Amino acid sequence: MLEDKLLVLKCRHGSKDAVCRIYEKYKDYLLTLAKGFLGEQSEAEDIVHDVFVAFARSARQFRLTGSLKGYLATCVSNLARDRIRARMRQAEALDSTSPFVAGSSNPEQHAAEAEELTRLRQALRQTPYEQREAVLLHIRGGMRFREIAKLQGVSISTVHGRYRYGLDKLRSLLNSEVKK
Amino acid sequence: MRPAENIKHLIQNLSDKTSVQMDQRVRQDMLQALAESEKTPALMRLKIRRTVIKSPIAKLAAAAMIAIAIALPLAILNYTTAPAWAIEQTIEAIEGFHAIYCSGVTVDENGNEFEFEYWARPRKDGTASGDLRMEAKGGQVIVVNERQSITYKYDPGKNIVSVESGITFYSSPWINGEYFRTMKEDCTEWHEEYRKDELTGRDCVFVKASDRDPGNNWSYIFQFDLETKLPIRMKVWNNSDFKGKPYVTANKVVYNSVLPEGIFDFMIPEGVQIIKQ
Repeated sequence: MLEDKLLVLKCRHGSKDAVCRIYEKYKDYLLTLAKGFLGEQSEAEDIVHDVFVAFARSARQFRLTGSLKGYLATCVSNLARDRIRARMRQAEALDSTSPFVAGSSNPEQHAAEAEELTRLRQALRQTPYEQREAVLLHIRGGMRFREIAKLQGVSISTVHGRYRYGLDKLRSLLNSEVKK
Repeated sequence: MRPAENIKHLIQNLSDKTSVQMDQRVRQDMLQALAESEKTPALMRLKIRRTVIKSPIAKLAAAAMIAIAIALPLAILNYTTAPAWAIEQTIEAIEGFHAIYCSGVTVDENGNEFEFEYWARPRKDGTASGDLRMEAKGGQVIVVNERQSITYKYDPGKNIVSVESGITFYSSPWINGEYFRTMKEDCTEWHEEYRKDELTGRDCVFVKASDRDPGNNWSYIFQFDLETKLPIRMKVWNNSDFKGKPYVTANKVVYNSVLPEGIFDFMIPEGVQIIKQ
């Protein structure tokens, strides 16, 4: 927290080094979240790119009120949601069945990843977006339900529900995978 | 049935790494965006200030605030003695110091404690260490040379020297005046206790502070020498309650110590395996 505050302070004074250090510190974390939300490597990279560029653009006026990590995760989540909506509109236009089930990741990467994690990614893609977001932001993003509720614009109990249903959905998807 | 805990564990293990191409693209675009933002004038702040001054009520309020601001310290001075120490004195004393030595105990990524010695200088912008040397009691050495932009990591147990391009090991944030200023502003708890140093008998102030933030909590005990106002020892915990063993215990902190010649140069020992990264 203290380190982040100092880095933000440096950014406000135009420090290139501080901006790059924030990128170094959170790039993998944000990419993991973005890929978890979208399932697509290139789209996730684009989102992380846009978040950091927007941050750099506003760095001189930026005032940190909470945690920088939480702020950046929220930005990623908002952009990911916009992309999902755009995808859904596109899918409707093309009369597609589901925007989430997309065998899109590249096969080489799949081979390199642990089999379980690959199955988890596939299961995540089949989980409704709000549930997936609640699960990922809470477990991987370390965000509290209160913060997720604020981000999603719903009550804390709704987030609890989405989180629980999300975990149940993942569990059933992964178990059915195992039975096969 | 796969328990939920397993799934949570799996999700926690999700990890994606950015590619070199992506890093280059983002860094380039970020720096360009930062440079462009410099050209935008800060008119907003000016406008607000003018609005305030134009308002008669605001003028009256401002005058009242100034009167209170002058009167309050005078009243306090009449009834209390001057404090023996204030963080501002340390902030002032620490400015202009450009090297640090410390020794103590810390923990590695596996939670094992090890003794260390540490010499460092800050980077130009003061955000983190630049030149650095850290020696562990077990013989491991890390040397960062900022000018050469190179990091050496020597593990005598494995007889390996890892030579890495760039600064891949650093201390952040750099403990300077700004660090203490931010720490004072951010810490939710702040207690000062005056007593003598157990080893030297010198008058000291012990500052116990903690910084609460979801997922990123720290607590600290800093010991400042009352004569020099500089920190001489510190303990840092990576929780906000001073629980368990400290993450770092620096038994000796010396600001602006005379650094040994060539301390940030590393001579690769003969016969070691060199891994270039």
